[in-house]
Amino acid sequence: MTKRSSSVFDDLAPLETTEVEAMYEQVIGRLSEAEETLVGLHVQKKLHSETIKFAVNKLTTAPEVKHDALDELVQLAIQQKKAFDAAIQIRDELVQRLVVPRHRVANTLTDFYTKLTTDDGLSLAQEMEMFARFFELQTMLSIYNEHQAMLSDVNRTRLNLLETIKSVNKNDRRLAQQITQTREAAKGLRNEAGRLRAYLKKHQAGPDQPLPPPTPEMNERLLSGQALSMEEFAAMLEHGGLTDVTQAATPPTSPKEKREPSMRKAAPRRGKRRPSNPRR
Amino acid sequence: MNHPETMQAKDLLTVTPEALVASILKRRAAAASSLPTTLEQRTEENNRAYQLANDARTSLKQLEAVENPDEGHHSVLEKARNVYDEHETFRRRTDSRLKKVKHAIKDSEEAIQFWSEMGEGGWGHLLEDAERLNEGGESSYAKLKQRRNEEDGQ
Repeated sequence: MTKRSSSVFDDLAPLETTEVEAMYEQVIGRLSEAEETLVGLHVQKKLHSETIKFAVNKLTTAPEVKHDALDELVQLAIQQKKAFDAAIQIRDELVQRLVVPRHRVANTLTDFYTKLTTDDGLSLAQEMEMFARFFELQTMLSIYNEHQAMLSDVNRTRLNLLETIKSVNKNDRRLAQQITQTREAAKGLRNEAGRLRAYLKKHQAGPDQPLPPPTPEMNERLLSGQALSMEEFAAMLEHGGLTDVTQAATPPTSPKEKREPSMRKAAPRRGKRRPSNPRR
Repeated sequence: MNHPETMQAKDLLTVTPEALVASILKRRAAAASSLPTTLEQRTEENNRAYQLANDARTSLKQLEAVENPDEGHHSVLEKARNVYDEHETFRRRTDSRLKKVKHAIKDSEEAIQFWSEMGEGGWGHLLEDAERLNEGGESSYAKLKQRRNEEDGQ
């Protein structure tokens, strides 16, 4: 085990006060920088958190990215989410407009064509209905084919967004570590600043002239129950006197006698008391 | 073009209204060509059934008109009734078949006339839904769904 130094100011003792003051200023400067960094990191962390929430639809609006908190990855994630939302909206509008899914359109189209060209049991009314539906389904299929690229874009955009959000999440964890480290560093700096401040206070605010010893007149006044000034009281504390006064003033008291508990002496009121054990 | 049964949806994207009308007309014409023969067969069959039923009805009435029937008359009368019922059922069946063929001929003639007119470019009203979709409107399926939802809402 290392031997502990006798005072927390041992390393400062050989230094001049001005040097300690310079050290103090330097530590305060570093502490301010660390706290500013910490604020910046917290802002970034909040931005990451809101971006992730926005990406998973827990927030309806995109977080505001201020210029000083510019993060390319966050901007990319927001951009990709907006593109994904737009693609989803187009897809939903298309589905709402057509209603019939692509595979059913293709199947029904083939079915109607086969019936119209081979089934002799159809009535004219059925043929007319199928003819109209056939060309409507044909148009639907063309529209689905036209939007095929858009539909595959939705999936690609979703995958890209997921990858970006993974990276944002990874950065967020790294940011949390940085915050912890910076907070620890700031704590160390704050302790050091406190130590230096305490040292400086001790050496700058200390009295230059020692207090004079108390006079016998002070003792007499104290014994007579009169008031003492603060300076006189401080002098008595510094050089002693209060204890002497107390010892002289109060007579030694004898220790309190311990009272024995009184024992009830029970005697028979009538006759003679019989022994408890008659065999003895 | 492939056979209709093996055609895939992507092949059907190139099918035009003219081509489909032509296919329908071709099928209709093929079906119509066999209808006169069928009509002839059904008419002959129906005539025969009518004759049989008529003869059976006459015999039955004669037997029913006998005033003093002997012991075997009852069984002969029962047999004549069964024969009449059988021929009458056959007659009704053939009559139905004949009417069906006649209806098919009429429907076929109307259909051929209709699709012939369509082949000249008069199918506009049949392509209204497809044109609405092309112009960015809703499909008839979407409209139907919307109408059902509104009815359910009420």
